[in-house]
Amino acid sequence: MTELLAGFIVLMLIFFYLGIGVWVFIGLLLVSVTVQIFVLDMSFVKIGAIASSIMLRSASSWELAAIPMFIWMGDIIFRTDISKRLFRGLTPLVNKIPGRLLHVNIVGCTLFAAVSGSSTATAVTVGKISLEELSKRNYDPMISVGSLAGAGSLGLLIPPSIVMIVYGILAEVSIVQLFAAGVFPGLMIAALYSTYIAVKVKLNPSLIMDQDIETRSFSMSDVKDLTPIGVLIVVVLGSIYTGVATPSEAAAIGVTAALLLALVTKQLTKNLFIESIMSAVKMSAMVISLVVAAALLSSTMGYLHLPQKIATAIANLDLAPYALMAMLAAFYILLGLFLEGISITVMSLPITLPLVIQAGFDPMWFGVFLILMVELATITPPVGFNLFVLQGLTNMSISKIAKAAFPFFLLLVVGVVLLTIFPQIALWLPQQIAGKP
Amino acid sequence: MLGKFIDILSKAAAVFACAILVAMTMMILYEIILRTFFASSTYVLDEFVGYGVAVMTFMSFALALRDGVFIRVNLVTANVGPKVRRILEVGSCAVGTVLFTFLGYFILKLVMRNFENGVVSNSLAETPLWIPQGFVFLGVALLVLQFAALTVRFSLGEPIIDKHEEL
Repeated sequence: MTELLAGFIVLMLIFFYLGIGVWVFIGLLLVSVTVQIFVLDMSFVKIGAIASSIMLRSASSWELAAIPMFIWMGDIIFRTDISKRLFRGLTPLVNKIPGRLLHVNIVGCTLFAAVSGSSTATAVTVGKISLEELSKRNYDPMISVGSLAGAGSLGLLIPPSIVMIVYGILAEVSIVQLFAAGVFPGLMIAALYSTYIAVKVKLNPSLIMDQDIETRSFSMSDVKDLTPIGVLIVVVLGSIYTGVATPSEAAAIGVTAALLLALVTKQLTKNLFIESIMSAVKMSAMVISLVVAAALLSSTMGYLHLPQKIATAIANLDLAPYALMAMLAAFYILLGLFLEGISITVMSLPITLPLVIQAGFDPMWFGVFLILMVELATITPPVGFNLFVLQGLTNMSISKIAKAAFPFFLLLVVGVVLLTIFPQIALWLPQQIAGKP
Repeated sequence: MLGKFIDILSKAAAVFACAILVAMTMMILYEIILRTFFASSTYVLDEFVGYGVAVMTFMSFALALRDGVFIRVNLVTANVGPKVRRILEVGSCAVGTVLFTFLGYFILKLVMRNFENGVVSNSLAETPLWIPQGFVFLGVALLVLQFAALTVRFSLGEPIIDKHEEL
């Protein structure tokens, strides 16, 4: 029973420190230090020596370099006229589908997700033009905001993805393969969203009170509008999957391509450069601070032998694998009410990963499962960053936005269920790439 | 006065971090060009970019803290009175000061030991480890100063920064 007690203490400490509002990375470091002092009875000298070497080692990682670079790339694109181009270029493509311009949210987010590693960046970039345009055309605000909240979270699932990089590093899974594993689940979720919108609008046409429907067909100017994002997608993902570049290298190529595009379209200013890089280093410092804190937390749990013991305890319960995943899903949705994605990933993995592997699941598959859980977390109140972002864009209340996003929350859950029943949705593409049967 | 000075230092360190990010990007491109067109390599890319990430990260900590970029759970802090809120904020900053003073002390010890013993990396480049680690220490030291400055500032009644910025 002592291990369960230790596990309980760790959990309570996490809740306590995060609850009083210290920064998450400080909170996780404090949990580690507290456990080392009071539970493991370590001396200060030993704690300091362990902590300093782990922090240095975990921050000095070649794989981590992909994080600042992908963030920077996304930030550069965000500051260009990409939103306008996406909206203009996609309009004639979606105009014939029931739900018309609502699909710009879905398709726009899917495309932008393929050049951005973050969910809020995706929601903001697409939303800053589309929300205004949709409301001008009398689209029902609930469905335009909800679809954007849901589709924005695709930024995490469709490569590149910051959370996937973090997961790959912590779980020691190939980031290239993880990226590949996210592609089809991402497209599947997008398809679920679009189908839902089409059906919903078909059943209730009053959701769209659009007066003057644009009927122009797809033309050269639309191709021109969609070219920049197309080029970036091809450059970044192409360089990874043709084997020219590792994810960090693809990120460097992506940054360069984004800068060049901004230059060619005459949008590269000194301000754009300075603001984007400053914002990127700060943001990536935040992300990597969590990785560093998680490394210490993970080794502390290792000293407690907590992961193996909990894994054994759960194994003794003899749960069916699906029951275990259902339990984990419930646990993650609960965490996701209060925490944001990377925090959830780094603090839960030391315990959940050994558990899942012991139950016979593929760690790569679990990565995709976890990303979907994190996507759910971005649209659940009271803490959900896509909700916050949309509040900033629309001035609607958080509870109203959460209500608007709820159907898309359910669709994501459907996606999780499908992914669990048919793991090949995620695993097929990486297996093709690895050349395995 | 002193707080302003620490803000300027934090900003300068972040600018340095930006320079490192640019350098890492260029080094990676250089490597790709070497590999693709000249079947050659710098042979030290992984190692140097690794140092770069660590230095870049720690050097931007102080500014990231100042600008409210680090995430936190504000469920409690958003729902308490301004007085309790201020106490929690001052407390958080004080805890940060103590924690990173402690960690910084041990990082400094490590840097000093590596410097005195001339410890180099186990690689072709044989980089003296105290150089990248020394920059990491500078970043931590600056973070401690910023935490301490914020502790004082918030206890003197300076408005508390509230910002959501997330991935």
